[in-house]
Amino acid sequence: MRTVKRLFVAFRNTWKIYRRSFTGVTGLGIVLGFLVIAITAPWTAPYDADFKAPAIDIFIADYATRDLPPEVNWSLVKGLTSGGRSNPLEGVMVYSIDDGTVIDFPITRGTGEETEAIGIEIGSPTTINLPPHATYLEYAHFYRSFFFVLSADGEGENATSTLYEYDYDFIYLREHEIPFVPLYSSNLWNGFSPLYQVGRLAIAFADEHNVWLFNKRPPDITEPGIDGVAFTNNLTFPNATIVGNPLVVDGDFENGSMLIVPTDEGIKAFGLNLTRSVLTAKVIDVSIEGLMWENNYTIDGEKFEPLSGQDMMIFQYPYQPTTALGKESVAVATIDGRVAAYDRVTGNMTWWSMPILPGIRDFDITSLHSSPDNMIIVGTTGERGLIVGIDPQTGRVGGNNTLFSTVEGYLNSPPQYVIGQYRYVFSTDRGTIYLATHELQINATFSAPGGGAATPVSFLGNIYIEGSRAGNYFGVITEEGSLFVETLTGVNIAPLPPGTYPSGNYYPLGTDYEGHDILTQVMFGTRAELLVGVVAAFFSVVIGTIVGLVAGFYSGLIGELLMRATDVMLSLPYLVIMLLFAAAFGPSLFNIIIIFAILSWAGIARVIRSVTLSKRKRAFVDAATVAGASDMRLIFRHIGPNVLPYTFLYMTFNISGAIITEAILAFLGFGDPNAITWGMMLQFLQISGHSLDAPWWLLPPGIAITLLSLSFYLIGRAFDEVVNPRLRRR
Amino acid sequence: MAGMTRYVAVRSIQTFITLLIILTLIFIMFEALPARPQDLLATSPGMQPSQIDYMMRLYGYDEPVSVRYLNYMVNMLTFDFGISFSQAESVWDILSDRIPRTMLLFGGATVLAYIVGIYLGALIAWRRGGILDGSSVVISLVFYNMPSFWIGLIFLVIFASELNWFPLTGWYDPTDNLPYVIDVLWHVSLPMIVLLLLSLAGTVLLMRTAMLDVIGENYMVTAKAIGLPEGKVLFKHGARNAMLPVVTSFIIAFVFSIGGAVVLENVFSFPGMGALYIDALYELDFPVAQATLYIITLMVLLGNFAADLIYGYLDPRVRI
Repeated sequence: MRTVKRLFVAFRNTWKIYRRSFTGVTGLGIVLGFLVIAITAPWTAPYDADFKAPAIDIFIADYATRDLPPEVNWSLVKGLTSGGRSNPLEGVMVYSIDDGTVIDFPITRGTGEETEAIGIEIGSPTTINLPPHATYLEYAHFYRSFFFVLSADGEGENATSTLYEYDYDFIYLREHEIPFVPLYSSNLWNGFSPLYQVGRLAIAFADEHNVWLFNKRPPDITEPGIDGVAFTNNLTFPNATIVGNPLVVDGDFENGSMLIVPTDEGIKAFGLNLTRSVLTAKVIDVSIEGLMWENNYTIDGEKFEPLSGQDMMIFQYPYQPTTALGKESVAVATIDGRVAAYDRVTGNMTWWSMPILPGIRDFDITSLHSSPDNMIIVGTTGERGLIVGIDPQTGRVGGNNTLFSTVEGYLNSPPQYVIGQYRYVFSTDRGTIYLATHELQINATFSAPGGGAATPVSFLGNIYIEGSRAGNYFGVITEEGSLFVETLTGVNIAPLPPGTYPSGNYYPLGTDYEGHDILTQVMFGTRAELLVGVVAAFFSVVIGTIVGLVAGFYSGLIGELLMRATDVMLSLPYLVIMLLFAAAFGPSLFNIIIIFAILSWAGIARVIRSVTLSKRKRAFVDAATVAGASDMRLIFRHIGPNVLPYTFLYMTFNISGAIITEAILAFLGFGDPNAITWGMMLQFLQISGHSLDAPWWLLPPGIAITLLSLSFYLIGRAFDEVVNPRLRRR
Repeated sequence: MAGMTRYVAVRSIQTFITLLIILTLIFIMFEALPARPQDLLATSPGMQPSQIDYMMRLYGYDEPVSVRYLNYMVNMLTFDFGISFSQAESVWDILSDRIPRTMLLFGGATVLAYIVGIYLGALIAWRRGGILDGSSVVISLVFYNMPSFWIGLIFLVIFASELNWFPLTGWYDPTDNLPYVIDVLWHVSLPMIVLLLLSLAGTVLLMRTAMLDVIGENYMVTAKAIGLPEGKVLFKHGARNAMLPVVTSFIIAFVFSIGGAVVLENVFSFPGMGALYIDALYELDFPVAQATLYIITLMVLLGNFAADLIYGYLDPRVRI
């Protein structure tokens, strides 16, 4: 009780002096204001912490929605394009994996439903029934289009599955039995041979020990009524286990057609022997030949193991869209984050690479994808999804252009190349759809109405006006269970300046590039800033106070050593060393706190030491010594409380230092990408390239940093006058 | 000058030991970096195992840590920085272009900040309590607590992007058709102004405090009493005496502003040491990052050493 009363009196006396300082009271008021904001942010902020402006606000585009029968669980959207060079979009289908229902919406070019410009018109749907439980549903062109639907039959050891062929109008053609239930499926090779002027389809399915290869020759105009001839082959690995998707490569359609299978004994490449009719040059048989590669899949003797379930990819360079001229390689990603590329013909490794991504330390590769100009790695870093483009010829992340981006949530679709746009569209498990430039910078984000997308995004195709593309469309099924189709060729207007937008939302300070409300971000950012500032400053002054007390009390060798250490710390080039620590520790708020505490205790240690030196000579210390108090008791019980005002004083200064430090580290790319902080807001501004044209995004975080840091500094100055009376008359 | 020799000797040894400790610390931190240099060396296309071995030997990464540590210390102390990982160029060649640029930018800004700051600080202390004093102190405090990169960005937006008075980035642009020196100065001016404002804040506050100490002195009262003009009292009698502690802090202010170079050079894409350091850390170009860090550390230590010597020379009590 007495202690409480004494504390109260001390507090009242301090406040009496403190309140004379106008700036000090102002500073305290601002800090309390920020504290209230930090605590109440979830209720008072205009939006949730992870809110994003809906597509209707940040993107002016043609779109259409169609309600789907609600009792069916829709799982897939696909665009239906017709064959030929331009592949115009002619329909959209949705498929239910539960009962195999398909609804086919015809699409024609017309006037957009939501915009006055060119758009799509959706005709009346037809419902068809396909086999249910398809684990594979793809679509390919010859002169006509085909579907392959795969569905498992039977159970256990003898379970088989079936590959169904349908034509473009969903008319059943035939089926093929696969003698196992596939775990893996290859790419669908759908190529065209310039030499023979014919296309071919190839696809392989695999389980742990078997591969089933399907080859198909297209129908021929000289053979009316025949819709193509199929060849199937089996391949068994009794001893090795298949660990990933096989890869079908058709080479130049004559020599070097290959089937590549990743196994736990290395990557096996088999040649495909195509027998052609002497008269018509048509393929009349396909057989699997022996191994083509030497057993060359190691780096320096270290076994290079493909990641389980990992895609392999084939790429050509220089890229030729229709011919297979140039060099071809096969790339594969491995467990420890490396990517290796093997020459397709010899199997020799052409390069291997561990992509270096500025500001990103740890990432995991989940899949590889090929595109006309890059190899694309999809992966994760922390809780964010990652796409990286690497140069197929060298394996490096591209020169001056930063060829990677991170997004909230993990990717649930491959990055799909948007024909004619030189861009990619993909989606994340958060239901957001992204458009990225060919440099893999996020160009626009979309969210479907009503809670976002429930399915991965599917690039549908293009519509044309007089041969040139007038719109590129993607489709998803929304959380509400309706079909949503939108063009990618609208105009992205984020970051949005402050104002009210078509969705009815009001953004008082505008939005950032991803559509986050700036005011909300600033309010939630207050939490991290106060946390980092107070905790980091607390640890730094605790270290500093203890060092100072001990150094002041033991003025002999221990004191001398501690002071030398303090001098070393004080003569470090602070920021530069801080960056090195940040690079070594890795980006997280906790690490920033630790680094600040380690590097910022020296100033206070010096002050506390000199205070301790003067207090030590006081009578009350002598009295306690005579009474038999131990050193520890003298230091912490008798001298300690007397230096506490200084500790508190320097803590306020260190809080402002820690806030600025966090901002600088974040801005330079060493901040915590998973936290909302003011520094990260400014870093995203910088890396999104909008630092010069979005003042509503540039100003608020900086003003907030300055205000909060200044307020703590002002509190410190006012408190300084309480602690050091001689300053008061200034 | 009693004890000066001994003082210099003790300070030299202390500085050297501090340098060794900091170098060791830097070595440990580089060892703790998440990527190994050998991973970087081996990413080149068509690199054969024998070539990788050769590179490893070339950079000394085939040795155990203890030997590497010794080599590193010797190399650093003899300024033998080796070859950059990323640019196949000697680290010295890369650095030698950049050191003068950073020195020009940061040296220039610090000198200007001192010239303006001493004048301004003296003036506002003289008019203490007035609007000028209040607003100068508040403005100084605001600048003092502002993230440097942010104010840099704002200046870029206003003066380079909107008004188009200054170039956006860089050091020299041959397409400007300006004489080299003029073009460089034109490129340097915007970052220099920002730096000037930032360092001015500290200088003004320091000078104001020093001047307030002096104003109360008897000789100031005398000078006023004998009817000397106000300007003469202020600058000849007041500021001259108040300047001493401010001027001696110049070196420290300069070396610390160089430490801040990392941030501002990054904002202005200024090809100096700070930008080089960040790039080297991103690319994990160990030799360049180590050398840059070493040079900056050395500058800071020598600056502190010089400041200590000046203190020791001016104030005999320090020498004890």
